[in-house]
Amino acid sequence: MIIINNLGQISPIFLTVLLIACLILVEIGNKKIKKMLTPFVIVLVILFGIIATFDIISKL
Amino acid sequence: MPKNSLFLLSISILLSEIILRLNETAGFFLYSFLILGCLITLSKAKSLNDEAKLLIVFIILPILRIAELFVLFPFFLKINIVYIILFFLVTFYSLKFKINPGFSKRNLWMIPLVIIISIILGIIGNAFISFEKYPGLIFSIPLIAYSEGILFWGLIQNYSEKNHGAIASIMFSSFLYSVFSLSLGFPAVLFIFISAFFIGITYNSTKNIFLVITMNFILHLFLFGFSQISF
Repeated sequence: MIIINNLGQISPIFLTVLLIACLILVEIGNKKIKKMLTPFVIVLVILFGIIATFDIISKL
Repeated sequence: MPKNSLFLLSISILLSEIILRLNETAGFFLYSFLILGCLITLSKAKSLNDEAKLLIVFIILPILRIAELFVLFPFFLKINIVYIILFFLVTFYSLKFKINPGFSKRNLWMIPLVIIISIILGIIGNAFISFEKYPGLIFSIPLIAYSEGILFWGLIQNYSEKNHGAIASIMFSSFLYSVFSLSLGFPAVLFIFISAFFIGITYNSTKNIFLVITMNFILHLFLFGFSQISF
């Protein structure tokens, strides 16, 4: 099992920066590789969505 | 990619994992740099050859760790979410790369043999190392065993074998798998490396992913699932 039990909180800003950097680098690549890297961007976007949703809900 | 790319990737993952244990933010940055480094290398690649494919499936590991850092749910829910992400990624890449990780009937007669080997390994592991038990994990173990089996052996070992040979690829996949278990302590890492090495040899000699999944499944049952069995 490759999951760590007790990983804590780090600022979501880091994830946003990583997501933007990934999007830029994926855009730089050739068309074939760009297509292949789409799932990673999807995962990061979903993570970003989850964090944003929970953040909004917790502040209501 | 250079000839010693497997070594470089192994060292970078090891360093990132150690730093992550010491400081989560620093670990996140190291993993991010690792992803960005891989993406820069890929952006320069002219074609999608086996080395590029290896690099793409390798990126799954830091992506998973980063997902773990941000998915702040209770442990069992977190496990399921992270492994569903892993399942999605390995399924996508197996289909997209049109690679058969070993879904075949060949050598299926070896299932009883690998079950016995896994049970022995599980008993030895429980005898010498005290793994934390999660009885509730039993329902998630099929997903865990399948996803890990496809990633480490079906994809990573398969692609690294094409350019670096059988021994290097077995060592590479076993090393990655054990490094990702660093949180369990050094004796556990050593045991997991040996177990992963056995699984790697089985995969290399049979090319059947069902045997790998079966071994991984039984090992997980013994090491993390059964709470009563301790010798």
